[in-house]
Amino acid sequence: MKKKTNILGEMMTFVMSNCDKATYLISKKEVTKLNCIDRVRLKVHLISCSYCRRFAQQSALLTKQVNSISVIDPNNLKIKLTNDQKVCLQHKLDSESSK
Amino acid sequence: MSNNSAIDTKSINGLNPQLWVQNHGDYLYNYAYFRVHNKDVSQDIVQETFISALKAKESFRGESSELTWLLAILKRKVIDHFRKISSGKEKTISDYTLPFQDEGMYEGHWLMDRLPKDWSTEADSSLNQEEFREILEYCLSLLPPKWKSVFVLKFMEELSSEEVCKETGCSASNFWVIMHRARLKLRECVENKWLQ
Repeated sequence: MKKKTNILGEMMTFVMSNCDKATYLISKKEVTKLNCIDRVRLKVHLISCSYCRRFAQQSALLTKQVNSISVIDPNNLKIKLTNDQKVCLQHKLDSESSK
Repeated sequence: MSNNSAIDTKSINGLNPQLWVQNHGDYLYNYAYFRVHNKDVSQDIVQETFISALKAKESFRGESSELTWLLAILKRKVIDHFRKISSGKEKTISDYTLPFQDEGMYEGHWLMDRLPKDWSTEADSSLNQEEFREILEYCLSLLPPKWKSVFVLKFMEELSSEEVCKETGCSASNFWVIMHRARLKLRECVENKWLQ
């Protein structure tokens, strides 16, 4: 009896995600292609949730920016070794090469 | 990158170890620093790279440039660093509370005071790009060690998910949980700094 009345509810929970689950899928989507069920789940959630839509946009921006900071431009180095550090590195290198 | 002829250099196999610090030190240091976010650790990584490179100099075939070859060695050192810090005891998972309601009718929905705010206007402006990047770097550095390891190895070193798990010792399901939480925390940190 109980089973019967729950079918609709179960179907609803199957399709409807909450924000916790939706953001989980959004972060997963930044790494890999979602399977068909998850794509539908996410889509359905995003239709009704503007905050998760915003999260998805910001998430894509974060991925893009993290990718871009991973590239080091040799002509625009943000930090430099100090002289002391260079001396120390050179010293190690010298003593290692004379071994 | 030109070899200064005034300096006494011995080229071995087309490699000039005596000039590594001068020619490649800063580049390698930047590469390491923007991943590990610690100057001392970055210096150590550069040093270990040079030492390993010296020991392996016979294996240099001249197929790539000296810098490319050194960078490949450094990348391995960076991964080793993250493997080391990931194996530490994790108590950090519980330090971050999720921005979602954890009970009641709205379980799993955003908490009212932690809803994502609108940052489109500022973040899109190219004038603010540099500032945004700085905030992002700062926030990355604040992630718990294991989350940072997983996140950096995935999105900056572009390792496959399987490789990331192998290096950081996380299960496949744990990997997705970390990806999720790291992103939630990172987004929230960036937002708090950005809209300050």
